[in-house]
Amino acid sequence: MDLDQGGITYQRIRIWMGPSLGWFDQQVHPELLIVAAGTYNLSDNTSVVLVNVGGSVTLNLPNVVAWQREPVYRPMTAVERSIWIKDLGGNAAAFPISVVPFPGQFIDMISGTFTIVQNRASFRLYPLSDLTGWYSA
Amino acid sequence: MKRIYLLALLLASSAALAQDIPNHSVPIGGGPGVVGWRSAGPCVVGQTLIYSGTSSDPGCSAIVTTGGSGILSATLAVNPLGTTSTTFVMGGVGSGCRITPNSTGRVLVILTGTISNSANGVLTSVGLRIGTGTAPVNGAAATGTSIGNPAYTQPNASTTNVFYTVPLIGIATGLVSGTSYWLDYNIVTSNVAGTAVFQNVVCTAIEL
Repeated sequence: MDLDQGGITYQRIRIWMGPSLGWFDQQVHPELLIVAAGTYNLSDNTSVVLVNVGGSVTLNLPNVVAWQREPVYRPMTAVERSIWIKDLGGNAAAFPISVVPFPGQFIDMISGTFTIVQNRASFRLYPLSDLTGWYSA
Repeated sequence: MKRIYLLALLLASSAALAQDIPNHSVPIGGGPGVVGWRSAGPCVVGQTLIYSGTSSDPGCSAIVTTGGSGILSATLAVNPLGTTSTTFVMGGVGSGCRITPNSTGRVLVILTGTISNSANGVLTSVGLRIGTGTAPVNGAAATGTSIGNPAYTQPNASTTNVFYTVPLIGIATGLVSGTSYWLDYNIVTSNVAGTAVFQNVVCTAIEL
């Protein structure tokens, strides 16, 4: 798993994870750059997804329960605790980007897939505190 | 503290997110679950956005500036034979009275003529008909679709064989653009003793 995400804008912030884990360095907005069509399962420490491909892309969101609770066996959630999805290449009108919530979870209280259909549009997701899914902004 | 400022700056700047649709086009909503706008247009000169239904996005279509080419006015140089039929039969003027709508499929039809009956107290009734294909001939069984209201006359002794000018007016809707339609009348007499006549027919049709 690419814990580092390999981005150029490697910003870190030191956060306190409690007495058991102590201090951790975590990226502020770890990026995932997508340049090939396909289906991607977003990891817990993916905060920004940049899609730059003229082809169909499906993004499976992580389980918001584990994403929020951050169990020790999973990568840490990024500092900003949100997922941004951006059609970087301006291909969404021709190739809508599908955003699929974890089974049984919702986006804006709507079940099922969301699609980004506008070129260069962005879609920000924040977890709901009741862990039922996400709300968009 | 410097990092906190950096994070705050990063978050504050996140609102300015570039999105784009084609220049001069209009955004179209996609409903729940759709992020961003679809778009339509821009349309070329002489076009506008037209909806073809409630379940699809509008698209560019030509602006209808007139009623189309479906304008017809013809004086039919015939005096159709009358009838003694007590069931409606066709007048047979449709071959000279056709219209091909090309836009709205909504056509105003006016058929004027003179109506009479040769027998005292016998009713003549005339109605407007429209149809496709080969126009019916005089005396053929009633066919096509009725539009508008029929006109009638019932002469008494002093008005037998007197002709009254009547207009048959109706609006046909739902016509298929590009299809040729004939316009005709059907006619009936209430008694075989009297010959019903509708003649000096002038046909006018305008696509609205």
